[in-house]
Formats: sequence, C-alpha cells, structure tokens
Amino acid sequence: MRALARGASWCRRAAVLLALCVSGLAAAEEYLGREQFLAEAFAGAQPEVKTLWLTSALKAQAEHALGLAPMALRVRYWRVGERTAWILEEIGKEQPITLGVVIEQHRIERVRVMAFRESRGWEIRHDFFTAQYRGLALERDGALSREVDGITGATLSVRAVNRAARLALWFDARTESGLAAR
Amino acid sequence: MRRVSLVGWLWRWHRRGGLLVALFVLFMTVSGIALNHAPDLGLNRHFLGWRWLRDFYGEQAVERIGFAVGARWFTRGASGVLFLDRQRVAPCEGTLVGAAASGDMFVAACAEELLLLTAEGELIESLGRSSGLPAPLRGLATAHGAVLLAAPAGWMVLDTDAMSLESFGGSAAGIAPFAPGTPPATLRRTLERSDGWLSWERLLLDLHSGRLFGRAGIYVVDAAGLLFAMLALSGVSMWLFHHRRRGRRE
Repeated sequence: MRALARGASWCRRAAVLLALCVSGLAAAEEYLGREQFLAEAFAGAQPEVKTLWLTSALKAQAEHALGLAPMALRVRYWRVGERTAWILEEIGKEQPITLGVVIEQHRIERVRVMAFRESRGWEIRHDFFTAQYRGLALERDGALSREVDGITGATLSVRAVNRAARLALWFDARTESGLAAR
Repeated sequence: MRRVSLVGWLWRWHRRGGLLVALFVLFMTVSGIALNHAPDLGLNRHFLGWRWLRDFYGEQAVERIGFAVGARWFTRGASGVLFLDRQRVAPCEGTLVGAAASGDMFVAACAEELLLLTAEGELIESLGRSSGLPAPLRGLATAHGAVLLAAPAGWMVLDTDAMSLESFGGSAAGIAPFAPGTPPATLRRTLERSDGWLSWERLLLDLHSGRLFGRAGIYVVDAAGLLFAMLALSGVSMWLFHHRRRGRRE
C-alpha cells in the first residue's frame, strides 16, 4: 500500500507538459524540375507539347480498365517520335508525389520522382527502386507486366508510383500514335 | 530465505508495475488493434470536427478568408483542399492567394499551385512548382482580359491553353492583386463541417505514440514500454523460481 501511494505520488509530481502538437506537413522536397526531366527524357531534343483531353467516357474507361479515375480533364505530355514523357501527381498517404514517366513504344523507359512531400517513403526516389519500371508495359487487365518489389515502410508511396506508371502507359496508348498502333 | 525475499521483491514490483500500466496496456491493446484495421473500420475516412481538439492540434482559429468571383466563393480549407462554394474541388498547395474568371473558366492560385477549373468547378489542369510554376505566388489580378500572377520575378501573364506564364510586358502601375474577403457566415459554417483533416486514425496514432502531448508524451509511452518489459521479465523470473522450487519438492 505504501509503495502504491509512493508510486501515485511520483506520478502526480511527474511533469507531463501538455504542449501543442502541431500536425504540420513535412516540407516538400523537389528533386527534379520539369525542364531538367524533359532534357533527360529527350536527350536535349526539343519535344512537342501535346494535350490529351479526358472526356467523361475516357475517365470511365480508365476507371474500368485500371480502377483509377484521373482527376483532371486535361493531361499535358511531351513527344519526340515514339517517345512520350508524362508528369503526373499521385497521392501517397496524404500528400501528392510528382512523378515523371518516359514511355517509348508503349513500354516504360524510365520513372523519376520529381517531388516528394510526405514525411516517410522517400526511398522510392532512388534508382534501385525506379529502375524496376524499365521495360514494363500494361497488361490487358490493367496491371503492369511485371511485379515491382516494394520498400518496407513505403508501401503507400510505392503504390502511388505504380498508379502513375499504369496511368502513363494507359494515356500513352490513347495518344495519336498509341491509337494508330492499335 | 534469500530466494524467498527475492521472489517477494519481484512480486511486489511486478504488482506495482502492473497496476501502474494497467490502463496503458488496455488502451494500447485497443488502439493497436483499431489501427491495424483502420482502413476496414473507416478510421481514415471519418473526421473529427471538435473545435477544442483542432485547436489543441494547433489549427489556427483564423477567420476563414476567400476570394469572391462574382457570386461564388473560393476558399481553401485546413486540409489543403480548394472549395468552390460548398463543392470540394482539388488539393491546392500553399495559401490561397487569388481567384478570377477567365472566359468560361476559373483560375485559382495558391502559393505553390495554380488550378484551372471549368465553370462547374471541375479541374481542367493544375500547374505546380515541378511543372515550371514560378512559386511562391503572392497574388492574382486581371488586366486587359488577361489573368496576371504575382510571381517572385514580377507580374506574369497566364496562357490558359498552354498553362504557361510569361513576363507581363505592360505597365504594372495600377495593377493590384485581388484582396481576400470573408465568405458569408452560412458558407463558413458549412465549410467548417466539410473540411475534415483530423481523422480518427490520426488521433489514435498520436495517442498510441504519445505524440499528442509532444516530446513528454513520447517519453511517457517509452517509460510504459520499459515497464511492460519489466513486467515480462519479472513474471518469467517468478515462474522460473516457482517451477524450480516445485521440482525440488517433488
């Protein structure tokens, strides 16, 4: 009983400061700007800027094919010959991740993390992860042609990159050359 | 005799420790299971609107401001989402600095992102820093039928087709960014309820980790963890002594 009373007394004396816990957002990290990404994607060649309009029908098709509904009505992309480059944003856990996807002949040539705003999961920006997307295509069921190894603790970020990769491939197939190829 | 007093000592501190952390154990168990199944329970989709709790989190109780475009109001919630009247539009990064009509579209400018919307509030396209936006933007104005944005380098003209910005070549004299205003009280109240950012999952995570109470809360949870470890060790020790004693008697 005496020990219990001493313990309670200790708890009462313990100074638990009720500080305000501001759940602020992690500061955004920008790794690659648009011009730099495009210069890398097209080896310095000047790409043509094009737009893909996402009508209600196309959005419905995307949702059916990929399980994803793109938010914007207009998607901008860049093209040189058979190569297209896309800059897309996908939500990780709570914040958008800006991703650059380069596609050539309907296969991913490279994926780059351009900006990351979450407090964890930033490991996706490293080449050891993004290199897995090279050569991937879109299957008929909307999945990528090969499974991508995730990163422990970055599950939601990895899923965001997967979504962006699938969307970019799907968009690419609906550009003029994509439709002509089909 | 010494072994009995050691077991007695262990038993006393095991009891004290158990009493001290009993509530912690119960809470950690319930919150841990709930967090493990948060998506299934919808904890990340249900938001808390308690003003006192949002204040505790440090949400600034500032008067909600917005920009009126005709009879419609653009505001940005604590969750970072842009609202057109009561309608959620899209996330918009940074403080809302202006909004205007451009033909049959709307342009909404946040410090780090520019949104182009249809008259119905549907997102056409967004432009962020990664896509070439000269952030941070400080304001928005219109002049000679064009939308101007106050960028770090000065006023820039927006091309809504190309979603690009070029330096404004005209005279900046007399051009002032639109000033924010206070939306009607009914709209503010509706937005207060709609703009959820503090989910049950967030609250449980912060309680489970102790972070809700800052660094001291984290240390308290650490101390509880050490007590759990002490309980496990003392419990196993007492079992061992008891097991050996019974073995010797037999």
